[in-house]
Amino acid sequence: MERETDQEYTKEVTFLPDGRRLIYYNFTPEVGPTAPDTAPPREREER
Amino acid sequence: MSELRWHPFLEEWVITATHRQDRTFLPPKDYCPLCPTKPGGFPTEIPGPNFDIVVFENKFPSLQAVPPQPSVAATPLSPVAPAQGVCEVVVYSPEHQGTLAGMPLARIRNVIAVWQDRYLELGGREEIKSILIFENKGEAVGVTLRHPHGQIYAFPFIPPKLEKELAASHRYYDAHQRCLFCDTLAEEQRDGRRIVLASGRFVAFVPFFARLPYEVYLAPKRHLASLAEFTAADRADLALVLKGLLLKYDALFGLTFPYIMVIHQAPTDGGSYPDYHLHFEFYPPLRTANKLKYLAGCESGAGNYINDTLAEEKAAELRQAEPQSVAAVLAAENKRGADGGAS
Repeated sequence: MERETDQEYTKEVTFLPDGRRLIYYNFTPEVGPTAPDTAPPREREER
Repeated sequence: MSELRWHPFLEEWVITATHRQDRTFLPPKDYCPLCPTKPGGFPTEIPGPNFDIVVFENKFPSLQAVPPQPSVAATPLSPVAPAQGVCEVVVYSPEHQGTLAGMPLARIRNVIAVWQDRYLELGGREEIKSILIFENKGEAVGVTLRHPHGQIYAFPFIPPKLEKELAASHRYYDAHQRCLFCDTLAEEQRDGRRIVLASGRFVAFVPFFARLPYEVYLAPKRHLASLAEFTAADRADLALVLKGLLLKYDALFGLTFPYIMVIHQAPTDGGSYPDYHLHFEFYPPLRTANKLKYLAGCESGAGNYINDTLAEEKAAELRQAEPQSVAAVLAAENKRGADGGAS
């Protein structure tokens, strides 16, 4: 079993009895207001 | 048995997957294979009880990492190839009931983070050339399991629809040195009549060329080619517009609205796609509350859609449906949090 982490979630890779890959994602509880940052990004990168 | 058979007239692969005839079809709730296995209960696809989101390889895959050899020999006119690739199921929640629209923003943000992770991981494999993330919702579009979930197909080729979009984007870029989608988006925003919902970073609209009533495109305003380029702020803002749009769909006829949702994004074949712009496409099968739009003679036979409605009128209907702004989505979410809503 392989286990990875990053800033937001843990990712646990395992295998089902028939060999298929299964990945559990568990997210760290959020802290702070629920409102996301909806401001447009400063730079526009239209091409 | 699964294999790729070449269609010489359309010059595209057909995936033959006969074992999918045996897949589970609308089982009763107690036998849902996408619920976590309960102690002493029916063994489902998910043995562990503790997760937010789970991803696993489809039990009835159209494409497989180690595919069987084709059942027939190829000829020059009839090429055949192993159906290599990956088919994954993304289970949005351990809860059997519910839809993406009804989930808290935090969970929708997490689903987007998982989509991003899958795009990066599967797209990093040498044999994978393109990733299609999608959700079929509702029996009207052929759903066989009601537990909220989506799917991912990792293809060993670039699918024909994406290939056509890439070619058009490339030709436009060569002619104008600009992104076709960015220019389309700018025109939609200037016109305004077909806009359904917008935030700081994303906009949902019924495209000028909509082929279906209530067809919607959802895209970042900023030029982003794939989920790989998304920041946390992009994911948060996308969750807001996605939830708002799905709530509007449900509010339109006062029912849980069926749809096919797909994400079109840059291939993962190692090529450079600076002229391609990620976007979601929604194909709802309903044309009224109780009438389906069928892909009949002209659509199936000629490939030309006949839309019985005007994009401007359908966009106005969707714009009027609640919630009417992303601020309203946020307000409802904060009220739900204050009321102790589950996540």
